[in-house]
Amino acid sequence: MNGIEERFKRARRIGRSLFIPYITGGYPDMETCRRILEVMAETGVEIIELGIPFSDPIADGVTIQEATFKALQAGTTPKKVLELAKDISSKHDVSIVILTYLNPVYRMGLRRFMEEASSHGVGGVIIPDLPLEEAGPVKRIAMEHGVSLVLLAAPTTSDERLARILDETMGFAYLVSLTGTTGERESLPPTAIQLLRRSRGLNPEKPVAVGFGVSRPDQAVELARLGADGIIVGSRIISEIKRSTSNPEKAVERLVKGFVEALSNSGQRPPP
Amino acid sequence: MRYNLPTSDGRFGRFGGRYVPETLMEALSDLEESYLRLRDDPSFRRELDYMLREYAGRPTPLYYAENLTRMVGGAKIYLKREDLLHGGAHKINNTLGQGLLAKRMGKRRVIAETGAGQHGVATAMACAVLGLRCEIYMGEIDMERQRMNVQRMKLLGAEVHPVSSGSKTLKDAINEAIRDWVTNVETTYYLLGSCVGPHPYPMIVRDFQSVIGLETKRQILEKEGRLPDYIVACVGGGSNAIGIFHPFIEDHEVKLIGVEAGGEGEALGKHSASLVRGLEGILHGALTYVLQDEDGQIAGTHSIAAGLDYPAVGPEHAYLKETGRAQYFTVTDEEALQAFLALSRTEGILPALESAHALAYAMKLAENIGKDEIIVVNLSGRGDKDLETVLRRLGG
Repeated sequence: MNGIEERFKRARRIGRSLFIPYITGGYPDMETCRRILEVMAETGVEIIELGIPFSDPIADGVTIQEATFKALQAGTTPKKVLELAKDISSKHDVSIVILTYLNPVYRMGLRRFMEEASSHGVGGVIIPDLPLEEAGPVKRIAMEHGVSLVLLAAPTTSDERLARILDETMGFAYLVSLTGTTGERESLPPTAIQLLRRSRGLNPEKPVAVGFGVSRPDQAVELARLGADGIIVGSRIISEIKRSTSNPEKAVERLVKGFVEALSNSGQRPPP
Repeated sequence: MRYNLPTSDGRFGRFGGRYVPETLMEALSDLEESYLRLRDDPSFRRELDYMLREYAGRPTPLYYAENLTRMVGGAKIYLKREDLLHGGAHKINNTLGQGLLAKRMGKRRVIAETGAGQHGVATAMACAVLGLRCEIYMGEIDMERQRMNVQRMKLLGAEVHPVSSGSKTLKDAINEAIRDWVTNVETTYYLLGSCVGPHPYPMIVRDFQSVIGLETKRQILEKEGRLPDYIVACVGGGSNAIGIFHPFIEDHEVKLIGVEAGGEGEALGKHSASLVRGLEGILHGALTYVLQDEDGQIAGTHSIAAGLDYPAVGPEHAYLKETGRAQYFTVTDEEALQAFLALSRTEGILPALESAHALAYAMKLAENIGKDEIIVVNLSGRGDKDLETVLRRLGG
């Protein structure tokens, strides 16, 4: 099942928030990446964010930049990452959301990219350098192929824009927790909480997932209690893989389990 | 029809736009709004004109290069002497304009990227004189290649941040400046150095550089009583070229020629010719021509001229190419070097290696057209910064 929005709605009905891990496709190498994805899917994760590496990732901090560079050096291509998505989504009950920048999508051709995404079981696409104003043509083609184009909102987004983003985004809205790039932070930024409150206030229906700077289960639980439908963690996972060269799958499994369990035990989401 | 681009959504035809993270969208709207308001504000204009005249040294001469013309034996070659500006290049036109804009917007911290260091130096100068804090991002490889400019920036009071990601050159310095801006967007002004990036930058940089073309038009009418047949300028990001082209866009009898860095060959990675050899794509916020591989990964670039060493180009140039209003060609490292030597010996002017690309094309062109025709070359910078590079090439 690839219905991302349905997954969030079902989770909401039972008072749960979804943990969404991110990994750069092809990091640290294609085979290890595949095994890590398997482990994620087997650890109770319903949505995985999978990156197609791009040479110039302006929204990413050092950790994901390094993973991107390494994956590209290892010969990762958009096509190979899509194959990986197909492998995982065909074997597991998990939705794959692709994260990439606009240029690789544009080079493949918007239509061909969405066709390929769809035929490879991809449920959604996140493009951090594609803001609302430029998203129209991409969204139209994504819709034709049953792929959700996920839009991002940021702390600097005005209420008026935020309402439009929540209205236009498909599947869920990606709330960028802070003004900055991806990367681990010691504490939850106050901007994350404000943006989450504003989003839920403006559009109580639309699922929202918070990303950038979330690195610990207690932070995830706090966001869940404030009404986040999903919590996205990327850099923390990448640095765990980097640290655990001997058995990265095991390390990721432990980490993911920690988040999933913390979120399923929190159980205090406010009613929708 | 009047040329009135970009459109309100920042488009030159289908090129341009605003492909940036959501975090920057409000900041870009604020910048656009402030700029459009100040552009026509007489006190802003007065202040900028004063600084351009008294501080930067405008107007610059339009010099008839009689010796060079005689040596080539063809059309008359004029040089627009941007090399005589304070700092030694056209970059100061833009940094004074945007520096004043930053000040009026109440932003006290300015960040900028630099490749060869010319824009970094020009930004540091503008910030020093306008009392703004200045931080410059520069690739580690460029810092090594352009040590003197790093020292100049520091003496001018700027902080220089080495960039060690990616290819460690200009494109990565821009990435890092964008990351800084995403982080400090509320307090910081990003002073972009070329007519690239998301709307409104290509428009703002073009407008501040258009002073080159406006002066050229007045000067050539005074000297020759007519407009030139050709205007030739080098194109990296394209700011000096768009600056001299723009006031002539509606004068269809004037042919506009942009010259890109042909480097050492036609293979990807050996040159920086985004318009001549690139493919449409999105880099640093704009849809334009980009040097990239089949998967859309941005390619490495090469040029003897560090200021041309960039894998994309301003979206307005992409539009001018597509509509045929301007034409773009390449000149190799070696041809640029020969032009550098020729101008040094005939006219006693050391041109920047960037400008030497325009010169090399103009010399070939002059040879093949009539003696009564007129070519204006934008001599965008002086070559003192390139002595090490030139001497190394000549010695080797």
